[in-house]
Amino acid sequence: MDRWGRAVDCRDAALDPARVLRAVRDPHDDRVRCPRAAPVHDHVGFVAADAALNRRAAAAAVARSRGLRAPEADDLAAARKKLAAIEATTTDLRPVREQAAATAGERERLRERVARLRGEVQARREAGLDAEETTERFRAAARELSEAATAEAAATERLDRERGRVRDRYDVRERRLALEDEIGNLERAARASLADAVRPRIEQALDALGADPDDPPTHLWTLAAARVAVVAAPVVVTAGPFDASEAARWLDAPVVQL
Amino acid sequence: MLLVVTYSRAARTTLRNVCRAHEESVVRRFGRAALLAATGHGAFLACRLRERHPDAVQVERTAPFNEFTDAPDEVREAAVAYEREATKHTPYARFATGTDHPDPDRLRDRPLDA
Repeated sequence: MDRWGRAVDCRDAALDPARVLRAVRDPHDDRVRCPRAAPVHDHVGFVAADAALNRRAAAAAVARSRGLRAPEADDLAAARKKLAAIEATTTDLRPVREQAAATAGERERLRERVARLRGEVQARREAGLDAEETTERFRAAARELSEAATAEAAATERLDRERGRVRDRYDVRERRLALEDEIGNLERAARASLADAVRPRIEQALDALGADPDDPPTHLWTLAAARVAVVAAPVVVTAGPFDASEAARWLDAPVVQL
Repeated sequence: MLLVVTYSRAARTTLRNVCRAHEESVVRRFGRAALLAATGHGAFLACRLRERHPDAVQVERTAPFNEFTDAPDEVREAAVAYEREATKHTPYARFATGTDHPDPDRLRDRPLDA
């Protein structure tokens, strides 16, 4: 299909809105050739009765599209910079724990073997049998046990040492988590400030649409928000009181109507 | 019991969900940490958390603390005496000076028996 212009009416073509929307937002998709979609398009670029929408986040995006800057922006930038500067090294001690457990298991296995062979040697001697071969096996096992005990001690010591080291690394991670929380709070506050800044304009637009500003249906709220936003890529409209060219004029943005 | 402490937002969220879904194995919850029951299921949950967030989950095995067997007598007695006898703003170091109670450095350097 080959249609062009600022207001494109495709109501006759039974297109899938989700596919059209993807084509609009994907700069590499040539099926819809249009200016690149800005972040605000993710929020107000699709006007439909059943579109999922977080109104506060959308209003904040509308404010950003108009060049507004949140009062929290400087603090946010500073916190993000601090976070980027924190280097967290690994705290995963799994291989060390596994090694300590394996060497302990091996030592235990050999300890039992040595005890059994010692018993055998003794029993053979008491029975007046030749114990030389058993004694040799006993000695070999005892040597292995001694090596295993050394390995276990080394692995345990290493685990203790690494645990001590990891405690400091957890401090770093704790600082990072605190910063991440701070950033999350600032982002929330920034969204609220930005949303508050454009709310009167959105309510005014809702009023012009004849909608109840306290409880407008989703598609009218999106239309109102899209009018307040600065949108370059086409708004995909599947609901509302306008035809394509009316919508394009009202939104001051290109429109694809489905 | 198993003390699980998380060190990232994702791990904290997983812990919260796990605690919500398995109340029977959660002894106590604190913000980004929780005490899990010393059962196979408590260990199962701790292992799952570690597997999903190997770098952001610390697990410690805890045991109840009996001050009459787990703390040396002089340590316990010093604590009791300090709480009972010291005036409000006396630091422990000053309280211990000239008494038989251990000084703070000795307390810090002395490991507890396992």
